[in-house]
Amino acid sequence: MLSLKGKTILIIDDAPDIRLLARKILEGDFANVIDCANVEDGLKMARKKLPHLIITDLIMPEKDGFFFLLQKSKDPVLKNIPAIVMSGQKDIPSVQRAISLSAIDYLTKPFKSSLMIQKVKKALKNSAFKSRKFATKPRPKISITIDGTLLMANEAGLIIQTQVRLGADADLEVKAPVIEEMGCATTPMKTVPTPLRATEPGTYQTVVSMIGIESSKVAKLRDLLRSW
Amino acid sequence: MAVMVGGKKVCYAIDDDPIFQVAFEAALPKLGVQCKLFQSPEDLYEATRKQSPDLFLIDLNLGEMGSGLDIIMTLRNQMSISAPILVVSGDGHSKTVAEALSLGANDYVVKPLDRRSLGTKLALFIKVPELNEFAASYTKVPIEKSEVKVLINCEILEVDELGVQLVGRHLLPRGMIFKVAGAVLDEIAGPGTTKTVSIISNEVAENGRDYVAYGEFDTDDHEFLRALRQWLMGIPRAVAPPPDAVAAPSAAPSKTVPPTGTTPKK
Repeated sequence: MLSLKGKTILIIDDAPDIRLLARKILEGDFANVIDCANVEDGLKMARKKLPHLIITDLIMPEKDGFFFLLQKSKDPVLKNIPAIVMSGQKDIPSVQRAISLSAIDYLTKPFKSSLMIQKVKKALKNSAFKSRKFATKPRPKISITIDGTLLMANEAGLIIQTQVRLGADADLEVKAPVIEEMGCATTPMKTVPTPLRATEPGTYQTVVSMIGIESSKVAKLRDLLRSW
Repeated sequence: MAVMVGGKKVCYAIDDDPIFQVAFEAALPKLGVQCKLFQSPEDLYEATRKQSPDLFLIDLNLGEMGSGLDIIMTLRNQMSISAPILVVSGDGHSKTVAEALSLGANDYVVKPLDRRSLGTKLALFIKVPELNEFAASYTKVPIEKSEVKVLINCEILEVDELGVQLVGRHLLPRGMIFKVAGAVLDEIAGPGTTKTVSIISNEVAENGRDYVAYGEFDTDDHEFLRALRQWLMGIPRAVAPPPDAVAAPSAAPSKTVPPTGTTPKK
């Protein structure tokens, strides 16, 4: 893991200076940091934001970090989110109790920023959020909008230039005022099997067929194209 | 391997209309294309089994000969023929056009049509010098009208907590940022969701024809990434109650939208 970019980390600690220090360290590695001063707010925030990792203090007024870890381990949503304990408690029973309550690592205060980053990255190696795969067809489609230049047109097709190498025989839509002017806004379009070669590095010209145009529309298109 | 007759490209045509039969036989050779007319789908299949043409011209309503849609289906699904299929039909309804395309037709022209219209379409699929004389030439689009948005489609292979892996016929360049939309994004963050992805990687797919690309969502869009994590965990998305319900003291609890699609992998 190169950086913590895209990772959301929740810090629960009643000491504002510790929260600020941890935030500075983690944000310095591009993490998105949220923090809470007590366990109740921490549980609410964890359920709302679904962070990648939770770092909690142990000794806090009212509910403590052990209570948080216990609640987290019982929660069907939160139980898979890893938690690291960040505490001044160094005694073995505290560490053992925290680990038994599902903490995956222990950071003893005071700590070096490099150690904190190292432990956080280690904890984030296996994400709690499993990807969703679409192995078999029909797979869901996603539409992608790309910028293009309409270079030429005739009554049956268009030549467009894009920075994407468009594959052959693929459905596509071309949207622009000029397409509406041509009366082809709802006309089905496909790339034809033989794409033109690139004219300059990184740009590609593609012939697009306009499909099912009736003769009356063809006549109008001829008139319009002549006027250009 | 397509058949070549005297160096000419070959087209197999089937149409029950005698006027078009005559027109094809007369016009296509002048366009530099050898035309073979068939009187039944079976004859067409038999000839195709022996030698696939460079192009098929298929009418849809073939009277007693049957349906052109069935022929398209047979050529594509049963015979796995890849040569372009151009439908020539008097039926210009958008539903019929869409059906023919979905079955595997490459293109569709609506009758009546003149030689120039036919030649222009043929020129998209067949490269012979004679066609250029009859095909409509391209007109340069005025520069002020030339800016367009092109919407292409890819299929989703996998969605993870940071991005989406796509497969499709298009090679999406690394480093480019695109706007994306679709049913999965709607499911994650609500109807009409449009997001940007930055293409991190691309490679040729296993079939050697398509491309696989990984697009990363905006890592600063924390609210969307949170909704994405929620979707990955299979937690229903909360839908905000209508404004009047919010104002009312006895407002109903928020509705939820259950996620659809496959169950998250455990």
